[in-house]
Amino acid sequence: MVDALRRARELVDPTGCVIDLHPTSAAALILVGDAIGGPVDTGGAKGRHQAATDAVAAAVRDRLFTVDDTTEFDFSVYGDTLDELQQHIHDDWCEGHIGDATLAKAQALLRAAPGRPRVRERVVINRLLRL
Amino acid sequence: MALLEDPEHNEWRALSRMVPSFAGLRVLEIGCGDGRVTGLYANSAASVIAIDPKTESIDALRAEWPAVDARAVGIEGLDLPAHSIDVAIFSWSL
Repeated sequence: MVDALRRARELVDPTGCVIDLHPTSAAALILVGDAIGGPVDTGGAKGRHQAATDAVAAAVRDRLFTVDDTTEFDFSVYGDTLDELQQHIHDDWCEGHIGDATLAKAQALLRAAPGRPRVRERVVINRLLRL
Repeated sequence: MALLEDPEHNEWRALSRMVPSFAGLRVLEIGCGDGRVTGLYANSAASVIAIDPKTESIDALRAEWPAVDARAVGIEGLDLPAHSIDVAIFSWSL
């Protein structure tokens, strides 16, 4: 990952910047409205997301970049049904699924207050400037 | 109804905070997938090179954004001159 940042640094003009977007290691959650059904089982994804954060820190430590700005935001994907979200996670995530406990809680929430379920991830974005 | 991604536009707002205007900029997007992030700025950038090792993702991006120079390659195999990019975006790909 640091090698990729190093390569990007070579390609970017000295007046330019590198933008990094990646999920934080916070748990991805299934929600119905603002009620939490539970976490998504993301397998090894949490470790990969932490590794991305560590790579940015290492690039700063190696004086490749300075972090000029950073913020976090929520990224949600809404489905019509929990099955649709389950399929989305299966198809688009490297690994992961909605486990039985989260599924049961989310189904109960939907019975109590019908709506569109969603999966919500916490994402960090960094603007890196060359040193 | 299909899946709805980020209807709150939080990703767009965050990207706009980092790069207030893409006008005139040469952009390289690394790990572009099918172009969800590309679509946030492609119409305003001077040029866009979008790369992803997955051929099927690149095909999908080309279909949606024909003006984008989409390449099925990772950053380690990308042949570009030094300092030829204004903004490089790691799109959920680091």
